[in-house]
Amino acid sequence: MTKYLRIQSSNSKLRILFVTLLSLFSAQVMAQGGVLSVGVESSRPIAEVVRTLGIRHSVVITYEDPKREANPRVMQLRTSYSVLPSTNAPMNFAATLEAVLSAAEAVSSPERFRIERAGNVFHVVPNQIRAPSGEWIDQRPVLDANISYTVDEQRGSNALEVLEAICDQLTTVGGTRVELGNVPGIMLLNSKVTISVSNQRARDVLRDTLQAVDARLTWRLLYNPEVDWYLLNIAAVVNPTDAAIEKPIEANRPPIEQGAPFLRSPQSAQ
Amino acid sequence: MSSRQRGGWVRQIWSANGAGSVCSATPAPSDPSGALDPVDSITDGAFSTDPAILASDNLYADQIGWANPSVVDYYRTIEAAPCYMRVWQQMLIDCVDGASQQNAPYQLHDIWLFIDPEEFVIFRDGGVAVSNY
Repeated sequence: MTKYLRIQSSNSKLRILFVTLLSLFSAQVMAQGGVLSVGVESSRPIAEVVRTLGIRHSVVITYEDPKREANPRVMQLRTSYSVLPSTNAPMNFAATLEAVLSAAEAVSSPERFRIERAGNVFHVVPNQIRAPSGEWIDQRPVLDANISYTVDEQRGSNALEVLEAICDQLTTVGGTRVELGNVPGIMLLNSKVTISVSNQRARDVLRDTLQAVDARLTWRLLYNPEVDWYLLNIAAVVNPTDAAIEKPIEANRPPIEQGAPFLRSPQSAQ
Repeated sequence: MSSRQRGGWVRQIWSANGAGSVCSATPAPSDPSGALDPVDSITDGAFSTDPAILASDNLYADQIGWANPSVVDYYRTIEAAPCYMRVWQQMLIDCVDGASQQNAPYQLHDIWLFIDPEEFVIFRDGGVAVSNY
C-alpha cells in the first residue's frame, strides 16, 4: 500500500482517503466478529458470488456453466464466511466455496457444482442439472474433455493462439461450439507460450496456459442455450488496491452520446 | 538503469459505456443470461494488474477491436447486429526512471465498434479501420 501511494502521487489525497476508508471497513469487519458476507441476485448466482470472492480476496476461481436447456431464472444467493481478523482472508477458502454451493442448494438452485482445487486455483465445475421432471441429471463438463496441443517450435506460439486451439478442439470433441469471448487479447497476443500437451484434460491445459502468461488470470466459460454456444471469457483477478487504479478513467470518460452515428460507411466517416 | 526503467512496459485499461455484454443499436442493459462477459470485466484487471512487457527493441503488438473474431461472430449469431459499442482505452506506460511515473497515462482512446452482418468497422480517435471479419 505504501508503494501504491508513492506511485500515484498526483492523486495522493484521494488515495489516502481510500486507504483510510479501507482501514475503517476492515476495522468494522473485525468488530463484527470476523465474518464477511456476499449476496447477489443473478441468473448465475454461484458464478457471481465466486467472482466477488475471487476479486475480494485476490484468489483465482474459475467458473464453468452447465449445458442448460434454457436460460435460468434470476435467483438470490447470500452466504457468510469466517475470516482471519488479522488479514480478512477466509479461514478456509475451500470450505467457503463449499458453503456457497450449499447455500445455492438451500435456495433450490436447479444446478449443482463441485469444487476442484489445483494449488492455489479453485475450479467451480458443473455436476448436475435438474430436469423439468425434478430428476437430477449428471453433466459431463466441457473442460473434462482431453485435448492435445503442440507448440510450433520454430515460430513459437502466443497464448491467444493456444486458447483458440483449445476452443477448436473442445468444439470438435464435445460437439458444442466453444469460442473465445471477451479476453485480454493484447496481453495474450504478447505472451509466448511453450506448452505442448498430449491427451490431457482441457481444464488443466487451460489453467497451465493462463499461468504461463505473466498475470493472474481466471476464466468464466458461459453457455448461451439460445444459440448453443460456449464462450470462454478471461479476465485478471484484481484486488481492491489494483481496482482503485482504474478510477481515474471514469473521470476522463467522455459523455455518452445518445443517438450516436450508426454504421456509417468508412468513406462517409472520413 | 534497466530496460524496464527506460520504458519497460505499456498497459491498457478498457472501459465500456455501461452497455454490458450486449452490443446494441443503443447503449443497452447488461445481458446476464448471455455467454459474453462485459468488456468492463476486462477493465477490472486484465491490463491493469500485469502490464505487457515491451520487447528489447521497444516493439509492442497492439490492435483495436477484438483479437478474436468469435465475439463479432457471436453478436451476429445472437442477432444483436447491426449494433455498436463504445469503449475507452487508457494507455499507461512505465516511461521514466522514477516511481512517480510508473503508471503515467499518455493516451485515452475513444473507440467505437460497429458490427453489422457484413462488416466490422472500428473508429479510434477519428481514424477508421474495416476488419476482414
